[in-house]
Amino acid sequence: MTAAPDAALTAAQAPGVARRRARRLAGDLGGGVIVLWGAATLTFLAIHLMPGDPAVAYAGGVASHPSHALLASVAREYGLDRPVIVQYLVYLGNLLRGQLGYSASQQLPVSEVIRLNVAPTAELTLGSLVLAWLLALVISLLTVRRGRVLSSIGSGLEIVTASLPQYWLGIILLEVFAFHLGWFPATGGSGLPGLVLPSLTLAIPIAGFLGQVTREEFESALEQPFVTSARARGMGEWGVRLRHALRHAVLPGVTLSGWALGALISGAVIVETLYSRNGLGNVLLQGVTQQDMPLTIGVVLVVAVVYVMATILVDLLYQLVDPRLRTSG
Amino acid sequence: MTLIDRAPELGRPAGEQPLRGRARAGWLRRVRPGITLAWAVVVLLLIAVAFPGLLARQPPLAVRPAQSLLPPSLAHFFGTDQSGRDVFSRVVYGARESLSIGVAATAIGLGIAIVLGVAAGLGGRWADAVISRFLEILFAFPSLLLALLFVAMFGAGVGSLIVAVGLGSAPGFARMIRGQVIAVKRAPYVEAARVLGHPPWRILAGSIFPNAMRPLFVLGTLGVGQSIVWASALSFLGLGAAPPAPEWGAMLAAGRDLISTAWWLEFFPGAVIVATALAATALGRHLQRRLEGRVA
Amino acid sequence: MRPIAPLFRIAALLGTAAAVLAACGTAAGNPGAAGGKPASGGTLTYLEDHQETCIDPQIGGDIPQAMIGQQYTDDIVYEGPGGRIEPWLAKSWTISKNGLQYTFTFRDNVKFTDGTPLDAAAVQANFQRVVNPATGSSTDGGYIAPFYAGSKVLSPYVLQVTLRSPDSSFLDVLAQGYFGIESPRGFARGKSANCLMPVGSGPFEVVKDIPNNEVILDRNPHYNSPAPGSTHTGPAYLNEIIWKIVPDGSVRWAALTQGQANVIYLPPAEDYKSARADDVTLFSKERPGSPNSILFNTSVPPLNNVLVRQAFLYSSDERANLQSAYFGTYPYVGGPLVPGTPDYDPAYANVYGYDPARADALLAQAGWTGHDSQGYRTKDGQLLSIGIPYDSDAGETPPEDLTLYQDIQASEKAAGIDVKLDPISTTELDNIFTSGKGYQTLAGGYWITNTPDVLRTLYSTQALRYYGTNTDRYSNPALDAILAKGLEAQNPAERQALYDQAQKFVSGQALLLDLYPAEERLAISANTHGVSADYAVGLPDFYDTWISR
Repeated sequence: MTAAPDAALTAAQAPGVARRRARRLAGDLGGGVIVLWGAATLTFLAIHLMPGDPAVAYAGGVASHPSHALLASVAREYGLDRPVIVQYLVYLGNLLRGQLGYSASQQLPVSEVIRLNVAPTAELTLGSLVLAWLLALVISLLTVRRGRVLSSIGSGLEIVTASLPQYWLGIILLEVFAFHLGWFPATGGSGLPGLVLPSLTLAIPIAGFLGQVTREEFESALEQPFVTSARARGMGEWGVRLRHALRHAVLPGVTLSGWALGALISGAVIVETLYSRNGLGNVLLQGVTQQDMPLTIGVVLVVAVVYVMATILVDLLYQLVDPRLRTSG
Repeated sequence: MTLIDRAPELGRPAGEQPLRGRARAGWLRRVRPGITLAWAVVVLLLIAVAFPGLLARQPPLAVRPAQSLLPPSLAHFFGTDQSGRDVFSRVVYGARESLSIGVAATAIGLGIAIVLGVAAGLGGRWADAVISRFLEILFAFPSLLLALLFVAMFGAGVGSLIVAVGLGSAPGFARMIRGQVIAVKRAPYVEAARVLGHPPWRILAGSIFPNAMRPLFVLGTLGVGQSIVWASALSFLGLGAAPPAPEWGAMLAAGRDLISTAWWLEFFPGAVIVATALAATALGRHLQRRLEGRVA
Repeated sequence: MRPIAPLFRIAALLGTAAAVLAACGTAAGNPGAAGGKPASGGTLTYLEDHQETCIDPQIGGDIPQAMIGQQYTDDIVYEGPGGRIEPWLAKSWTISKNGLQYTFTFRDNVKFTDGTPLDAAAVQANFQRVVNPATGSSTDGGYIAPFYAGSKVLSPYVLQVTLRSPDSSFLDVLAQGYFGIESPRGFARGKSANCLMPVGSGPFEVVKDIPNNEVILDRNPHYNSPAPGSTHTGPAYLNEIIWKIVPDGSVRWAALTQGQANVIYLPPAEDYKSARADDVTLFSKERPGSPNSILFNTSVPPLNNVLVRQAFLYSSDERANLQSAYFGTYPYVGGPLVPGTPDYDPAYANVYGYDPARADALLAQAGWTGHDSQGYRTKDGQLLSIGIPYDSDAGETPPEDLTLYQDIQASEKAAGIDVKLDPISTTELDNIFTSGKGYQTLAGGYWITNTPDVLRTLYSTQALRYYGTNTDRYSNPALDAILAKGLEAQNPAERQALYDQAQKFVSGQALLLDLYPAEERLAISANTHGVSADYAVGLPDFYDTWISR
């Protein structure tokens, strides 16, 4: 296929592109490290800014009745009798070694709690991202520039779904499809049937956002010269949409996927509670209500790490997909 | 491209692609009936906040156990709840709760954002770099998680809720304001003012601020819609107002168990939240488009 | 679901809960017994609303832990109908004349599921573990530690336990599901490991545990120690139990009616009426002792004045509010004891019916004659405001409870009392209770035991000073005297008379607003048979359970 002439890169320019990409990746990684360091610093500040004794916060909160022995050992572990800067370094050191502390509300080391709960949340989040993309693409493909009515329905659908709060959507889906019709199990359950409703609940609002963005790009892509020329060559409407316009249209959506992942993880807090699924979201909520700081911070940092990695990946993907950066046709 | 440029604000793609030519005109034509509807919703909500008695005849806190769980009827538009309270009244009075939380949270978010955004935009390269990095760091936390972290630190409750949601929305606003300040800073008329020798404070107050802050109204509108949804989410999770406050999110949480037998408890408060969020978003974007039309 | 309220669990650490568990038994049901011949095989899915992260009832000691412990452990002795103690792991025992030495002879053919033998040394290790403060055994330790002086292994299957002072409730305590015997080799793995996968000798063994989410128990193929009262011997019928935590009642009910669960705990009250149509068996059993109530802190204003307390009760309209909030599925108890508790007197059930005029007079007498703009009473510029903290966790405070609190709040408003509902975290609630400060009332507490001596556990000076179980902070020598005499009384008629006096006292002093009796409530699907509940504490037991196709 031929890309738009001004966007093609000659073979001679290829090494330059590769070098630029490598530099960009390094920049991204560097930036990512800084962001993670900043996130860790923020959580350190969180413990020291909240009311009460940091030792008690590390030990799991006032109500877990930390004994004097426990408080003493916590103080030693985190260097709480030393100057703040030393405490900070000790804290960072602990994090780097994967020492996330002990969760008093779960009665397990935080790293253990996270290990037990990562898989279900990952399953849910990734499944929902895929589903959101599918939904967004299907609606966009079917309805963009296909006449007033269809387009309006499509874009209307996207706007409404983007505004649906997940807790409400989830309850309604649960009632209609699980309680009433019985098509899906009422409890989260393991296995695919138990994943459908929670994924839908998470995916629909995200699909709304992705759809809106993709639609705008799709519309403008369909007006581009290369599309007109493809049509002039006799390519059918669907060929045009799928082979030419799609790549352009998904670009901003790909960028958004990093954000979408973050939004999905937030949504997982609600959806896991609604569907009685175990996972990081559920665990985080328990940590927050019990004011169990080591657990709360542990989960938040893990999410930050995932988010940063995802954003870097997304940027890589963007470069791969962006036709302007391709080396040849 | 840094992370900060990649995160979208409120549905606009990164890179700020304005609508092009024909598509844009088509948009406006399609959207108009929606706008009227959105304005209608907003007006109703404002009446609910200011004069709830006009809309709701029954007291929202009047417990009548004998009349619990009645389905919607002429006497009770949205039915009654487990304590026999009129759901419609609770939704109307709840508007005050939910909207005030939303407005307060947005105000806090915008306040923080203005400080950060202006400092980054006007403070020179060093300040910009530091603040931009800081915002990137905040962006690494999904907004709800930022809010939850705050609640973990300071405990649950309405005050905590307001600050938490405000903090969650601040990074997004800050980035936009920073962008706006930078754009205005480089605008020809500011350059002209500088060349003409106007004192810096006059340039700031007369040219930069008014133009940079113009989209604030848009941000505020979009922000209030979003804050209401987040605040309701936190209330739903049990981190908000204590009963018997008629806060929409708390009402949804309380009615969850009874969805099979009393669907109206979940349906109506939720529908109202959706309508509010939709209206705010539609209005906000409409204003945004009008604004883009005016600014060169 | 309700564990023994965390408040009381902590308190039991500091002392013993009841000296005389006069075990006048309460009849346990045997629901779903009929249905043909038991068939081996099948998986039972059980949905519970709440579980501790640590499923070892020897650590802490809640009802949820005991419920799951009942499936994978056996107890030393068994409590049958009428409170009669029968042999179980201990095939016989002797008690010395002075009541200080118990010599147990254990069966010699029982093994834990990790292969180690259940012998005298193993049982000794269990005793030593629960009385050791480092273990954190609130319930078992709370009951046993004050009395346990030591034990000696006389021969491989004979253990002699020595007490510091006579404890006529010792065997009753050993019969409760909190003290299932676990493998010492299991203990050696460390607290975390034992919390996750404890090892017992019961009809099932824990094979998988995702904390706060799901526990899988498989049949123990070598099981040979069923309790007396079981309907069969040998291994259990079921292949497997899936024990899931589902906090939402409506989800539990939907799962049950759609065939995704066999037994659920605490079905929502509003679904009771559709049970028959859905072919579901409901099982309710009141747990004796003190009902689920709002307890009043009698040491801080305004509830330090008995007139205000009485007025609060008269204006609560508790009977009508309970009927409404719980759809009529709970009986109104009214008094300080649950019907079915030994020496219960129905005379105190209806003392505080809804009487706003009386409430008005009492409050006026107490000096609360002013009114503010909203109609709440004032006295010398002070507002008559009463805070009710409750557990914000929906698993601890079901939605019907929340409705009930709000209904009571509205009733009290009519009398001019400003009730403030205060949702706080479980851990904060525990903290308030242990410190004894910072609350005017506490909601959601109850105490399950089959003796009227519960009144001493809750309202005596002894409890205040030594056990830490007196949430009311109430201390009155007159009541103490009556309760002490009741404890010693041998003659049933004399005991009845004394506990009558005690109930009259507690009722007259308006020490609690009782909400409803704690109940064991299960909903069982039509294809599940042989679910039983033990006599001691009312824990569901799946040993005899089988599923028909």
